[in-house]
Amino acid sequence: MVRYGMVIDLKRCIGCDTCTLACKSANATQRGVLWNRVLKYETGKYPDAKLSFMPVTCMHCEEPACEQVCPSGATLKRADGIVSINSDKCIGCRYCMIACPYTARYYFDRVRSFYPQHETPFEKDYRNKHRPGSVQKCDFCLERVEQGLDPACVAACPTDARVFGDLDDPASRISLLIGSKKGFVLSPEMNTRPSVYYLPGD
Amino acid sequence: MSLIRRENTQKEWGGKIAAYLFLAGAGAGAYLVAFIAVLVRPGLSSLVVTAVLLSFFLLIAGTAFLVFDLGKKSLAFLAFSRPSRSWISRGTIIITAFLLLDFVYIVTGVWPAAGHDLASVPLLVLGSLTAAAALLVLTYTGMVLGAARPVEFWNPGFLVVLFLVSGISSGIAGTVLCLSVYGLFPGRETENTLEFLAACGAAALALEAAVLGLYLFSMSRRAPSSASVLIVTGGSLSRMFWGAVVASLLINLAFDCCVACSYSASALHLPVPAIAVSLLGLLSGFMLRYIIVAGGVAAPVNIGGRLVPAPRVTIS
Repeated sequence: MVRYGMVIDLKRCIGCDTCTLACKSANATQRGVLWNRVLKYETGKYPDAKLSFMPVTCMHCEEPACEQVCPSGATLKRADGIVSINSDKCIGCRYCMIACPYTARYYFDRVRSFYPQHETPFEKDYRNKHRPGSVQKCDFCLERVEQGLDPACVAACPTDARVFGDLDDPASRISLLIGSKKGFVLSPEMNTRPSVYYLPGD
Repeated sequence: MSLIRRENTQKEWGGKIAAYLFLAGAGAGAYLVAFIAVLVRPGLSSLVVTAVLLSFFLLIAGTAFLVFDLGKKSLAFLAFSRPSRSWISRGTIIITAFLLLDFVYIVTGVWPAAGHDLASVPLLVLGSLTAAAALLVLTYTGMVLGAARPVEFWNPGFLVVLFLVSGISSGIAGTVLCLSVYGLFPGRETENTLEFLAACGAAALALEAAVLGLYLFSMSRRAPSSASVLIVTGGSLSRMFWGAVVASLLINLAFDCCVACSYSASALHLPVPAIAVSLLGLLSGFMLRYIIVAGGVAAPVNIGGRLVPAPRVTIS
């Protein structure tokens, strides 16, 4: 059985936010909701200060804290490793948001258009894609993956910083990268065993 | 090193969840006090009737706050779905069980046919079961926060004990308030009731103050939770903490000590000071939960050994 995961090469990430926008476009998330984000932070001190980038998304953990606390069973760990949300079952208690160590979840309380009193054609087309009153997050572009495509953020990345693939296949590109370039996960002390790995930056 | 945009404290849960935790705790606490009175001080029927009825309505009100906080209120019944893993599911079942037992206890022993022998074996068994459910409710209010691993400030061990004693003190304050509002009953029972409530209240408040101090001291010694302690004791929540929690708690404690020591028991025969102090007690109980909920800071994200504050994004 395949176990999907992702590797993000921090040396290659230039902080252009193409992944952020590709995600928004593919998933029609509303204003303020970013299933994929690129955090920017300073490292070093003047005159050697530097802006560093850290793309973050749902880590699709093997032991997802969000799934453990969900009272309704809306959050589901699939056999292929993807953590998905059944918005029909989500009651909007937001317990999962508090339990997630990576703050990867968003609460969609009501529809907000980008422009006041004006809905764009894109917003009109996708108005009913998400259910108000429920929590949402990255699902590795489930529909695309089921069609054999890479998630939108991976497909759009101009520097090939993201690699998507099967973590259980030792010959896959993602497994080879993690092994050869010392891939690491965020906050391993939380014991959630993320499926998103990072390759060290500078 | 700093993130360009970040917000430190969790924003997902706020006043409604604090109210839910407070009302559930105060209701369970009121019931426990009533049951203790049945066991150790028979004859305080006004206290028992008031506290048991109050516990039922506080739990109903608390549950309503939880439902109001949900994004999809019509699906609230799904909160029962996963008791094997989720503390919200466990809590929903525990509170439902308490409400059912409390209701049966009210109908069979307390009201409307007051005068039943609450010390009879069937009612003692029922009362004990309800008391066990009340203890579980109090435990749950601490565990539901403690299960959120990233927020170290929500230490389950401390919160269970703190919310347990705070629930009892809040339940006592609510009971005193009700007794005072509808008029203190004359005679010997009044003094016995007040002395009993003041003694229980003083013990619970003293314990609460000690646990609260120990909790904050312990949390201030660890990196992620020390940020929460700073916010609570010296930051944006400090006025609420020192004014509404600490000052109210100490005033309540001093008052209960005075009454328990019979220095000024007669003062409580006047409803105004009793109402004022019990209102302060309720305020202290609610604000305690509010600052703990609102002061929760998530552990920083560990990026290969470099700690970066967990990024919080609010939608506007």
